Amino acid sequence: MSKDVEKINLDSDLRRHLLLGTIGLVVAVLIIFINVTYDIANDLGESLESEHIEIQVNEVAKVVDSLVTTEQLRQLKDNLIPYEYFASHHYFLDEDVLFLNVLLSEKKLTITGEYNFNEFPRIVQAISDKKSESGFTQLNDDRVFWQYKYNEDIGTELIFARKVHALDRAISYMSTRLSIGAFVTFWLAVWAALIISTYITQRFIKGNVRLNYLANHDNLTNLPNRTYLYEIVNKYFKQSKNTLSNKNASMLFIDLNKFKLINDSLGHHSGDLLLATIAMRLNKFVTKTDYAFRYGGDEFIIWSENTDQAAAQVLAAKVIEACKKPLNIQGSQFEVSVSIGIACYPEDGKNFNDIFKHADIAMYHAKHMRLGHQSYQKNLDIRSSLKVNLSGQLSHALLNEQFVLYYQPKVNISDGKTFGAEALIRWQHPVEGLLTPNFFISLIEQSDFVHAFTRYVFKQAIMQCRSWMNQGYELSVAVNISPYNLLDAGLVEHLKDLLEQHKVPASLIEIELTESATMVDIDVTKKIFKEFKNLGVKLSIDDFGTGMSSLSYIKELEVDFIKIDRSFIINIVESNEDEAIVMSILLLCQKLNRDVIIEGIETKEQRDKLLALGCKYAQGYYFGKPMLSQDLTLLLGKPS
Amino acid sequence: MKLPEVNLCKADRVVRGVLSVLLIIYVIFWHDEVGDTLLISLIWIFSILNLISFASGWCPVYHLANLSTCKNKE
Repeated sequence: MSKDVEKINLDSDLRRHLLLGTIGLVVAVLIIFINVTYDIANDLGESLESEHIEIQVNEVAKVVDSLVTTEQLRQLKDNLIPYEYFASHHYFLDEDVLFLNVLLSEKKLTITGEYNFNEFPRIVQAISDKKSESGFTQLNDDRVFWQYKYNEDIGTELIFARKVHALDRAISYMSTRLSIGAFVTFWLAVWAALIISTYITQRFIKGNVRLNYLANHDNLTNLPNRTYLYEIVNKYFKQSKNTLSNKNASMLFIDLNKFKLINDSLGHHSGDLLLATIAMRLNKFVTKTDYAFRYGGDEFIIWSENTDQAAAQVLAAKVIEACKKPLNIQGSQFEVSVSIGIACYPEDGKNFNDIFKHADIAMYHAKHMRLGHQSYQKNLDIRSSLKVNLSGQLSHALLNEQFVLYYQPKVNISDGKTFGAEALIRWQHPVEGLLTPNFFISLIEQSDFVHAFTRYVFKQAIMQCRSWMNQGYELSVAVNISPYNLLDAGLVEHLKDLLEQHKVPASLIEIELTESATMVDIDVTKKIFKEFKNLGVKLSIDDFGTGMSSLSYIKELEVDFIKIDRSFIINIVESNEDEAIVMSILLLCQKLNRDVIIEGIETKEQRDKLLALGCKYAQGYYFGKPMLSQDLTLLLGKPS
Repeated sequence: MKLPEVNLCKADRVVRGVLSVLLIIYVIFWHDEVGDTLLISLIWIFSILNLISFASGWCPVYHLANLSTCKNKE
């Protein structure tokens, strides 16, 4: 809507400017032309008139000359030349003649008009110069033609002045025509200006509308883009508080599940087709109050005005249903699932940023829990928004060594003596405080830092090992690695370098991998484990008994320790089943020549029971919680 | 055929009507003063077109320029 208003404003503004510009130009041209035409007419009239008068004056001069040569003027008594000598020129010697005088032997003879020609300085000048001359001059309100004519042969000087009317005639001839012509031209110009301004404005608006469309729409899906989303949502919130007080609105943050997999396996072209198809399906939900946008990548937004949370959930379910219908992309059939996060106005936020952030958090939760759609709730925020924030801070944290290792002692059950420690990572976050791995491990595993992170952990663990060695303790340190690290081809070599660099025997380093992780690709795991083994580091399988692995894998992997998962220990005192399982594992490991470490011992009863079952090694809160290295050093007592 | 929509308001029509009549009177009785055939023809065209606009309430230039002085139209 705002675009339309803008368009209309632009339309009328541009048109007004063009119209005024064209009319202004025409008026300027008219003024110049009228002025020039008027001057031309005036000059032409005067030139013709002066020519005509000069001819007449010459005729009169001839008469005067003949009177002088025949000496008829000698008999004059009162210096007045009788008019009858010039009877044939009466039409010329009319009332417009100011004077016609003859100067003869310093006598001033008058034919008609007595005038002090001293008012004509140019005539006075011409008389003194004795030089024939003529011209126009302005005398009061009259335009006057004057002439001085000197006849050298007989010494007569003729002085003449006459009012002329060329200018008046020019005005009377021109003014009517020029004003009518100007009026007609002006009228044509206004017509032309109106039509041209409309034409140009329309062309301009057309171009502008196209540009606007390009700026506000995504060219792959033809859905409005995020710029338009900001505009629409912000416009909604710009309504007056009174209008908004009775309103609801919802934002659905839609994300395609496993889109990256489709994109990577079938190519970007198929990915694009998929996005376009999904966009078409989302477009069907567009109404006057519901808008669909492509936010970016495989993320879409539906902004639904006048929709409360319940209605938004219904809408989300419909969207999921619509997207679920099988797609046919380049001959392959797909079913695409989407995760939708819902945030509503006013309960989940009162501005774009809050609503958007909360919809994103809800979507993240929906995706993580495979819920399909999820409405925003405050308790989601605590973890999810933290995770969203944390994911952006990983590289900074790694660079600033905000990740610290805590160590949990591993002990001999019989005498409680610590023989090693498991290194457990914590994030000493400057704002959030100490964060446990469940806040950030999954983020690291999904990031590009997974290898750098593990290398960092190894370095810290080896340095700690060295530190303990320097203090006289020989303590093995176990480091957990992610299954993704099995793909780090340079890890073994890096570990070797670190051990050499810090002069730490490889046997003091233990690598723990969860049972489920070891089974991701048994061949890869076997290969890497062999390389670690050759290096001399110890290997252990963590959380044994929960990963549903085949026993043959245990046989194939040459590990040193098997760590029995805490779930079998919690009820070991009361549960015969747990006891039976632990006993079986103990027996199995004894036969396979693997050492067993029991995890999660928390009470003395558990410890006694497991000792009775023949367990040698254990770790758990009963013996010691994860702690900083210096605390563990204190716990160790004096080195032996 | 659909008739074009009225695009002149009452005042606009009256101004055009009066102007046309005055111009026609002027050109009939004082055409010597104008003297120019082209100008006289243009005044005739202008007056007649405006008389038509006065009578019909529709101006072709307004139509082309997408304008209207009619208040009924938004």
